[in-house]
Amino acid sequence: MAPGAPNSASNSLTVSRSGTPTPPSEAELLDGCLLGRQLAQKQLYERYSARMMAVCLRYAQTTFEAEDILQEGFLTVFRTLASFRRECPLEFWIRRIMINAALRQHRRNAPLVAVSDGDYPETLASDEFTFSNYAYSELLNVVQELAPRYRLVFNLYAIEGYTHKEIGEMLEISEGTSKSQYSRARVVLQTKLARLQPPTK
Amino acid sequence: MNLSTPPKGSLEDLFRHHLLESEAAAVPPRPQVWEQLDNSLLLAQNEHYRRRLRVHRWAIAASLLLASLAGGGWWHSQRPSASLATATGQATDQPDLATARRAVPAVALPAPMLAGTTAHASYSTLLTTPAIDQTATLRAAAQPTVAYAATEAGGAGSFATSTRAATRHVGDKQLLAASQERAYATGHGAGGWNRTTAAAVPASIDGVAGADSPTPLYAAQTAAHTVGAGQSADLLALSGELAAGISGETSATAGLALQALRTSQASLASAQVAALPASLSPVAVVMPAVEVARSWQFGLSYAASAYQPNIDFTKAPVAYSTAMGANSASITNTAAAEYRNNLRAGLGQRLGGWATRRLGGSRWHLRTGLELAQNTATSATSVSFLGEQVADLSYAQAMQAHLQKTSYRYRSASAAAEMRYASPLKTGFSLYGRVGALLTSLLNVHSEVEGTPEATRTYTLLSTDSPYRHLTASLRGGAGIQYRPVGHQWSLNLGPVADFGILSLNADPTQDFWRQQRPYSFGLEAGLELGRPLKLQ
Repeated sequence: MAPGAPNSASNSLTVSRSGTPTPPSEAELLDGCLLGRQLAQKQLYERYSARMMAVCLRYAQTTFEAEDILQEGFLTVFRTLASFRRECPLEFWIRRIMINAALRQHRRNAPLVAVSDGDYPETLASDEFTFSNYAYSELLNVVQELAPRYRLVFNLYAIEGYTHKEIGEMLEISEGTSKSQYSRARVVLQTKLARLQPPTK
Repeated sequence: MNLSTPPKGSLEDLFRHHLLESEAAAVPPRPQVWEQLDNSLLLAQNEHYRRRLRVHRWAIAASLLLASLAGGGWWHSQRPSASLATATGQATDQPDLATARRAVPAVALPAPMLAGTTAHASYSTLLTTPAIDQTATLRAAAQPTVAYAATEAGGAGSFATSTRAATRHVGDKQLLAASQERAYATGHGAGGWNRTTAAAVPASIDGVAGADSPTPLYAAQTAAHTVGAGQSADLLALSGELAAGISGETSATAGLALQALRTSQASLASAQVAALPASLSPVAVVMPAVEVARSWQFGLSYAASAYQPNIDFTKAPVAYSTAMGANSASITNTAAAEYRNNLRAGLGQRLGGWATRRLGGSRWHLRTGLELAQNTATSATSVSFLGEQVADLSYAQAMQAHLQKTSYRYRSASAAAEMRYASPLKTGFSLYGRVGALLTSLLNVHSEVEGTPEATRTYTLLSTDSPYRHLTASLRGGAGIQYRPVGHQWSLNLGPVADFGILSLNADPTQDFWRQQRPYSFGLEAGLELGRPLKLQ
């Protein structure tokens, strides 16, 4: 018997018996999904679904709409996973797909949504906000209450960090239109936040 | 006391902090979402498998067809040699040739006779059957004159001569036996291939057998009746000679016939046909002339191919309408390029009805026919591009990261004319080649965007806004293997075929003619042709 063989056997046994199974790496998940393994697909979904649901909620008006976007987005993820070149984090790639799914959903629903800008002032003074004064759910509700086109521009500019030029190209609107819509969305949000809680000076 | 200042920031910072960076920015979806997603994935996987299965089925069907054709061809190629071997075997296994003679009736026998009687059957058919069997006709076509001569002259001249030569040695048993074997073997060995020899065989056999048998006159008489279903005068004369040659050998069973023959021996010996009884007067056997048919043959064909529409929808910016927005031209051109990059060939299926006519005495045939075709193709664009100009007021550009699969179905009707090179006579397997042109009317184009049913478009012949050309032309070339069974009036053909468009499918190409992108397809075509390539006159 070769020296060390029992050790290696016991080690492997120990490893197999001990502790919780290590979660698969991103590459393993990707490979499993590419092979069509359902378990890998489910693990990938569980790893990213909560964060992607938050993204979808920002772009949707209701939870049901967000779930639709999430489902469509993940379907696209699994179908087009082979085209993922692993040059960027997987989460970033999935997030981009979710945003595109949301935009597509918006385009489908846009003709059905009656939009009203409401009664808001043209401009507001720039304020400084204390982060701890607001909760996630409150801010999410405020964003969801925005008109769809304002919500899109605000999300893309303020949260995702796209420039107005990029947003204009994405939404096939001019850069100026994107700026004015963002400005309008900002005023609406500031007004609603002011109603929600007085800003800390 | 070190009190940290609570984090503050602008409106953007506030939302980014809470909605993007915060740990709270994670909302687990309901479990039902995964169940629905899993179900959708399963359905998509099933659809994928279904498509693969369809491809496999076609491949298996094509393989089976090829295998059956090859097997049939092999079997067919084995038949003549087997018959020949059997015939040879029978010749050696049957010392009593009269048995073989008796086994052959004077009436026409079907072509696929047992090997031992093949020569007799062919002979009888040749002489007595007004409706010539197709097999005999096909073989006779190569040498119709020879076959006719065999009946008219050879059957009465050289045939009689050879038999007489055999009967001269009637006293020599060994020589006679040798003659028997030679005559029989020659007759059987060549009977299936040479009409002249075949005609001589039965008479030789019967004549010799008559001389050798204990009932020579009966045999001789039977020979006259068997061979002389056409009532050949020379054959009867031969019977007379035969009877005279063996007059020393009496037979109780042939007494009456011998008496009758002795009575007319002198006249029969001189072979005067005029002296024969009226009932035995010679009857001219006229072989129907055979020539290659020039009438139309009809057939059906089915082709499965990989079809590539190969369309380039890009245009010069000035060619687009300005009514759809300032950026419409650039968006549409980008989409057209994306469409072209992702354009993939799809399954093309074609069903055609053909009429074929042989040109003169050559191997060239003119084929013309009508075809109905359904071709498919797929592509993917981020703007649901289907060939039309894209308005810049839509949000289509937002979908750059995710390509939407688009599928296209083209239905068309074509009128085709082809020249086909093939042997009209050859049975079994043979090769063919063809080249031709088609004029195609694009009846219907159905375009779908995956996940966007409202984007579905259907263009017909009446659609004025169709981006597709309604009338196109293309060239076709193909080759393959043809199987025509012996004795049947149909043939099968199978082979690869390729189509190349002369015109682009794009209704309004901006490229010059030589730089246009044209559709093409490669596939396999199987056809059935009805009608016989030979006809009787």
